[in-house]
Amino acid sequence: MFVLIFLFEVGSSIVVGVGFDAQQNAWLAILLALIGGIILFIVYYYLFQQYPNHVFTEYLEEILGKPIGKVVAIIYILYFFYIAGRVLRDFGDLLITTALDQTPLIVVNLIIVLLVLYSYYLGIEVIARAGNIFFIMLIILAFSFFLLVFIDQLPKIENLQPVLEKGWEPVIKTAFPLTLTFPFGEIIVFTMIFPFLNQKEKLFKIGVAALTFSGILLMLTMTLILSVLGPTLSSESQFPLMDAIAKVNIADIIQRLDPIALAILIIGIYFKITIFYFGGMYGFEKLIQIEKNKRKYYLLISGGALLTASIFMAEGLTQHLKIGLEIVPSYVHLPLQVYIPLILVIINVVKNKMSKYKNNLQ
Amino acid sequence: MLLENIRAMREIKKGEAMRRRIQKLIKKKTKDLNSKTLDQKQKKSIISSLEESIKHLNETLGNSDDFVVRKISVGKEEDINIGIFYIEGLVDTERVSDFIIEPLMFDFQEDESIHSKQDLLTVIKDSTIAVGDIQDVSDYESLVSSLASGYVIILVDGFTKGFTIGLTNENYRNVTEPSQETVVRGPKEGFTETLRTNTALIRRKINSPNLRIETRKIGEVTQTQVSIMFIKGIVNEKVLEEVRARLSKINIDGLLESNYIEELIQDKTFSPFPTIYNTERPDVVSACLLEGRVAILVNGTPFVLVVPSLFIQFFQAAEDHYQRWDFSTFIRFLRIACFFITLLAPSLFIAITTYHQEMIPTPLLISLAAQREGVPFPAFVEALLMEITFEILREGGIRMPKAVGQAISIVGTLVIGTAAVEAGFISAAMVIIVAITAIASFVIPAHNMSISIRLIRFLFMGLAASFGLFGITAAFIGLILHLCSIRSFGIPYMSPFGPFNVPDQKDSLFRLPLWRLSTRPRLVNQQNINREQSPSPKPPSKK
Repeated sequence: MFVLIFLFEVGSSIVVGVGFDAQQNAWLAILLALIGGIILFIVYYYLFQQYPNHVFTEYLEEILGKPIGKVVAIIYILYFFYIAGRVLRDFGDLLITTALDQTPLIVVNLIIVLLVLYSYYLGIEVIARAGNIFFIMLIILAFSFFLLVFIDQLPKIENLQPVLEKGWEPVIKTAFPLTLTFPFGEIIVFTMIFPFLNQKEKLFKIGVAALTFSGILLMLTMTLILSVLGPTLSSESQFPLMDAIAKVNIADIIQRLDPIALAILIIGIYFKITIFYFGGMYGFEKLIQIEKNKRKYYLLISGGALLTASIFMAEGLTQHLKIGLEIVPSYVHLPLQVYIPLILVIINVVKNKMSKYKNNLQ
Repeated sequence: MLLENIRAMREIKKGEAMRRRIQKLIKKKTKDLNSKTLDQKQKKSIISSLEESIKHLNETLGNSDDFVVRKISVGKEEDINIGIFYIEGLVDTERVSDFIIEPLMFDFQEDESIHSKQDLLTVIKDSTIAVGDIQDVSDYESLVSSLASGYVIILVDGFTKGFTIGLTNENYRNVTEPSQETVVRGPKEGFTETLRTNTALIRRKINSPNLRIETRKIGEVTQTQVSIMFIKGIVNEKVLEEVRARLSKINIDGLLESNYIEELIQDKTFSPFPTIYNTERPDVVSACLLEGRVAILVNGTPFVLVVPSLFIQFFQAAEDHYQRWDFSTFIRFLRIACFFITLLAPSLFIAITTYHQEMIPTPLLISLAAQREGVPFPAFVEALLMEITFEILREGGIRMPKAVGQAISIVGTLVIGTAAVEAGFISAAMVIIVAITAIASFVIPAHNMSISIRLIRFLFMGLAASFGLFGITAAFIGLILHLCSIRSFGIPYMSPFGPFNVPDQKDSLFRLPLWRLSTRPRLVNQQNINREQSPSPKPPSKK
């Protein structure tokens, strides 16, 4: 579980880069967002505790009543699929701009979709086990990235100064809502996975630890990238990590490591898509109660839908990033990740109070 | 029109289904009948007349040439007729004459204690025949099956009972050094083709009464003996039950090698990876038993199966525990590195030279480009050609008679090494890559694992050629997912890495000093985790 949350958090955000709008103070922004993320996690955890054996879309119905709950559940399912599609698109664009400039987007995405379908078919347990193995690899590779960058003496402390040049305002602006919702708020999809856990008591500790750990790693990486590239370059670059790694050149032998970084990122992104897809698909399965033997067809259909969505989502990379960074956070992420869960908590608390009150009356 | 057609088709299909069902029924009936008649024939109890018995046995065995019948008459008046039956070659003839025929002919005559006829059999059994393994037999079925497995049968005229005497010919291959898994340090004995020798080899290593052996016969025709070995109290009972259940489901004509069993009981057939470990070293089997695994021994093959087996097990060798721990750890890492080299080296080379040239330092890039100048093929075809050539050479080397083997290696080195490069067919760098891959694949101790890696390698090469590093990574993710989805007798194949398990790390990729290895693998063995623990060695304290 720790591993899944970690991979999920680090997955795509590390590529696209988080919090660079705050210029030199990106690390502060991430830290702030991390705190917000933990608060959100507490909210989700509270909800989960009320219904420890149900996934999110199921207890929506219990809290909101059947008709409204169903509608909201469908919205969430679509949301998960949409985000899966978004990340897929992010990823496809990344690959095509960096490595495979002559391959059509659809082929690249198709391969990832096939992988995602395969892993959903194998089940959450297998995904988690594979996550363990990739986690080990990712940590080793991230560590070697740090090491290489420092050996090459790339980071320059000047790039990080001055601290809080323009005061707190830009920091807070980047932290909320952008960095809060992406990547931290996205753990809402884990409300679909919590019920599968073996040791539910440990969930809270593990969740917070994973969030903190990934937040700190993100922070370190972003700070490192900033110190390597400088604030202007890193906020302008589409994929700052790639540019930072590409700068490594040790004794003219180890140079241009970006394709290897790319390989790491593929793993991270794959996990992110898989988990979102899992959230969406599992919710869907629960909602309409699919028969076992028909599952295959639904899988194929949804995979196809995911593929198409990822391609027709935006006309080009620029539009795609614009939607992703400006519209989605405030109009999609915020209400779904923050407002609705908060409302749910409030309703739940009120309901509990009411029933207690009733009990007292009787 | 169309509708009618469809209807007609349906009718035909229905008819077909009916016919099949009837056929099945008929088959079943005839089978039942057959087995019934067989039962009746063979369950027959022994006829008291010796002549009749001989006639009957000759009939059952079809007057086989190697079936030996020896009739002797003993007693004071030479009125007791005894028949001795055995199959030539399976039985030690010298000992038959020494310990059966001689005592019967000479000692028996002087014996005065035979008063009644009833005592006769007891006297023969208890005080005449000088062999340890002697058992009563009273029906033809077990008589014939003992005969076929190398027992000597004694029938006395006038009795409906006989004896089976174990005097099997032990003239098999001696215990020699195993041909596959050789070690620098460690025991140099390997299993043989005889089941009993093999179980004895293990018994000699584990002198515990808790070492249990269960033997059964599998194979309708061959009646091959198959033994399960485990240590009571350490073994994982669930796995043991599973092994028993799976073995009893086997229904096959012949069982000639342990792979027959492996293929019939493994968890996943459609996977290139082996989920059952095999070895020809008694010490390896003993170590596995001590960890709580179950061994399956098959008569007629020196290869013993061990279940459950994990992915990492195929990268461990017997010697790891006979050498210093630090060196063993290093070797294990080396093996994992070789795993990746075998799997990825050719595909990485393809990907980098076709898609990511910028990764290669400029001077090297120039020399690579110069080498490839005259090469007519793209990197993928080049690599494929070389890899396949190598596989051909390897296979050719195995099947060749030993005398010709040298010729193969000379042709191989000349063709692959020099001629191909000089002719401008292949670039020299590719030869190096293929050679490294080949050597690395031999570093992996388990042969069946290295085969599967070599197979998957081609898939990786194809994806690398079409998608570069992305293809490799995608294939790699798929591979890990697949590996994680496999279970071996209920135990996740990739443990202790996925699911991650800290205590088991001590003896999987690392090999900590022996005094630190105080627990058995947690997933393999669930009831008796703790081993005896010896303290860490310390020099005597100075005064």
